Amino acid sequence: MARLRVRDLRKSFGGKTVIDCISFEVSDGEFCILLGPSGCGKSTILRLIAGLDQKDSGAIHIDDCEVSDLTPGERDVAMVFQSYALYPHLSVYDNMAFPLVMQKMKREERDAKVREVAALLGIEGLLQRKPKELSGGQRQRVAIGRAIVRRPKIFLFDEPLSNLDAKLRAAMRVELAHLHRQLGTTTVYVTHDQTEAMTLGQKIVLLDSGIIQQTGTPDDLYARPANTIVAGQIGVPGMNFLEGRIEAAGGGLIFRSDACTIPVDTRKELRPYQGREATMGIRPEALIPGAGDISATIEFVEHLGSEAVLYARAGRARIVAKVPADFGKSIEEKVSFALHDKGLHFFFKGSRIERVD
Amino acid sequence: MKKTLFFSAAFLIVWLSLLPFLWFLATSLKTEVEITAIPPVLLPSATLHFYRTSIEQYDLLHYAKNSVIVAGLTTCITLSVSLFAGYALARLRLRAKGLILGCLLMVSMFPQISIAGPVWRILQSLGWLNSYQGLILPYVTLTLPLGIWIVASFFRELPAELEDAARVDGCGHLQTLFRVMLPLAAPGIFTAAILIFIYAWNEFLFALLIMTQQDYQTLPVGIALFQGQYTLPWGEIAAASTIATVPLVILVFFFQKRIIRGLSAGAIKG
Amino acid sequence: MHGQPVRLRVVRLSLLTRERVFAAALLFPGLLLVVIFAFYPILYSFYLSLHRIILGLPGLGQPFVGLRNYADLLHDRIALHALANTLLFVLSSTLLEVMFGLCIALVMNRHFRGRGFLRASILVPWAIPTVVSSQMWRFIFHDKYGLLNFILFGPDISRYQAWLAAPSIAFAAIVTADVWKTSSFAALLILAGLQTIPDDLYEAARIDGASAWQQFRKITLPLVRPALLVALLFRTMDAFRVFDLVFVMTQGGPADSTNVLQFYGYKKIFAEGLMGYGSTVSVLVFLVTFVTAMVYLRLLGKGMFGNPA
Repeated sequence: MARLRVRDLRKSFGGKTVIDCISFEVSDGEFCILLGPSGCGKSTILRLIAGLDQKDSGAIHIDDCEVSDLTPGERDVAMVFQSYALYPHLSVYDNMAFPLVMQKMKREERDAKVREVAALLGIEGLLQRKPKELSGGQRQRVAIGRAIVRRPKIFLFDEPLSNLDAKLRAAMRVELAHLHRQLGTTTVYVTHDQTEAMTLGQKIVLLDSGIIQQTGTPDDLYARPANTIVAGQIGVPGMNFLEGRIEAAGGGLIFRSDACTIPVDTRKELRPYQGREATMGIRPEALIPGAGDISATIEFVEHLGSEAVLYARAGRARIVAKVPADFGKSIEEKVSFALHDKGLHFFFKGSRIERVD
Repeated sequence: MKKTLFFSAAFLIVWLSLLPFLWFLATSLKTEVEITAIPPVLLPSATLHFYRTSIEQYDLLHYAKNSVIVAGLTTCITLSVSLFAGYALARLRLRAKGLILGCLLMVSMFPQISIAGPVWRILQSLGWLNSYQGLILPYVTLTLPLGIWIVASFFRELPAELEDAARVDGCGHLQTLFRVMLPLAAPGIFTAAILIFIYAWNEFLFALLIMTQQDYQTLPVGIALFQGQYTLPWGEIAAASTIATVPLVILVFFFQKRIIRGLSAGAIKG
Repeated sequence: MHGQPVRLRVVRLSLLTRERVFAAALLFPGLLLVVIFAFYPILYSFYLSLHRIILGLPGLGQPFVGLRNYADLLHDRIALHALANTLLFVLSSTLLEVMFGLCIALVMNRHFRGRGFLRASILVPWAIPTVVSSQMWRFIFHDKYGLLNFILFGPDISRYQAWLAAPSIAFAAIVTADVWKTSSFAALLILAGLQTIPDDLYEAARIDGASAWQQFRKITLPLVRPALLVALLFRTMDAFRVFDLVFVMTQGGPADSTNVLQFYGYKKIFAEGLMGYGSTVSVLVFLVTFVTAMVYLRLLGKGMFGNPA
């Protein structure tokens, strides 16, 4: 178990900057998610931590040791790969024992550890099989087992669930969370799936275009997105954005946009922005059908069973709302929404205008 | 109609490929009388007469032994050298990779005569003419481009994540090569071995120049230089030729898929 | 065992530098051999070609003669004849090989029972030692016991010919033996190209009503062109090296009709001991080959080398 500190990390491939000035910390035993769309550089960060690629500048500390000049093996980290990367010519047992053999651990001790971890993961019955005789879920377990067995300082996961089907993925998610609670090992987990990020992560580092957009707990990122990029990436369906202007009207303050005009008197923080262009973000779940400030025409309804997702047009803007399943209206009908204050966010030039109470 | 045409073409190809060799095989099984019959006799009476005389009078087994030693050692040495070089070229970060591959390709196209004189002089000054190492080292050099090219192309096909996994699990580069990459690339290495062996087994010009004493000559040199007292000893030549060819024909029939893959590896890229 | 304390080291090269050094070390033995036994000899040949060296006369020393050997070469009728023979041999054998290779590849590309046997049979000529195939063909062309005479004239021995004694036929015989032996190699390279053509192209063409010939002309030929060029390149480079066939079948005769540069260089250096002049011939062989290779690589573009990364 260990603390990981990454400072001012930079890396470019062939003149193209992949990550730029990345800094974050993962405290002892923390489960940290690197979240972002594909190509945002999150896997590169993981490979730099593992020692599979070399940084251009910056520093990586594990505990208080700068590891940049250590080989992957010397860093004492374990990694689970997207393709699992099980050694095809070795049995499950030998795959799991492999890192211990490399540590020159004694046979009896090694055997005990492999069996203990196999029991923990419920794969005792598979030890003699070759990887190609296993299902996707079983391979996944073996890959995790190979990482666990050496009790490394840090676990690195590179999109480990993306090759599984949806049902298995949900089950493995729960299992990984459980495993982390049991082992308490510092973990860095790369994914593009925000559900994984929200359910597994104690801390999320959200990346886009090679830079960190926001670092925080899952709740933080959902409730107080630092900018429109974060706001757009967290939450399903994504946040609605309305472009407009903050204006004075009748002694109060309003947000005027093509779709609606909303009084924002209670928001003291918006006063300095009077007369400026701004973006209002509305969570789909903050749009309450009934009497209210926004009126729209329904274009499409997606029924999900427990709830429904409404696609509607308000002025020139398209909005998405999450509504109860028994919501009665259908396509072409008019609908009005009230706004739930908690799901309302304001951005100036893309950055959050922090709320003041 | 189309089908008949196709199968007769296939039949013709097989027949033309095998006929000359079968004719020589038949020749080797003839008697003295049959071989000098005019017009020639098609079917031999299947005696091993010429095999016996080629062993007793022409020391065939001695040539065969030299061929086995030279081709065998060449294969082993070229493979080990190509294994390291191929791995470095396929998988490690290195400057001037393109240049090195280009140079290797160039070496594989050198006309032998352009280097034969100097190589002969180098070996002479080392006192290595008429020695196994004197022939093996040039053979290793000449087969290296082929070996490195094939081994590298097989290494390149292995998933990179396996190598990353091995590195994270604590392997150095050399351990990664031997514990993970080598077992997985074994089929490719075997393919390279077959091709290198065939090359070294068949090579003639250098063997002719370097091995001037009969004690060290390989089968091709023997077969080219067999002399009778008045006429050419066709029976013995055919018998020796058959002995030199049969191992290769067996290799070809057992491993045709691998050989075909190996020969086209690297040649068609892009 | 885990969590070994990491001690400070005085100087540690970066991981990248260490990887490069390691890679260079892995390449070293191979490159060393290639330098000693291939590149150095090429340069040494050039050096030798500027001197007068006769192996039988060591007392002569190695006087530097500048380009004298090259001037002599220009007036050496046999050498020029050998150059012409070499070019003619390369041209005729490679063209025939690629043509036959294409036919064989088209047959091999079909799925049918016994394809494995067909493929193995095709590889037999390729695998046979060239010396053996040379003896084989020499025997087939034999004036008394040869199969060719028997096939052409049957028992009518009065019409039997001494094929290898007639200059133009001897040349054709060498081309035949080479085409027989190496068409299969060309076929394999072409086959690899054929296999990259997706089947649905042909299906689409059939739906559009294209005949078999049209399919061949409009789909197969253009798409297999790169493979044909690669096969032509490999075969050309190899054909320049023809030696075994000539040595065994004709010794360059009759009347130098089958004398080729490699054989001529060999005779000058090793049979006559003219190390200096023979090296001039071998430099000529090298230059001719090199220039041809460059022309091909131009034609093929840079795709040949592939991208090693």
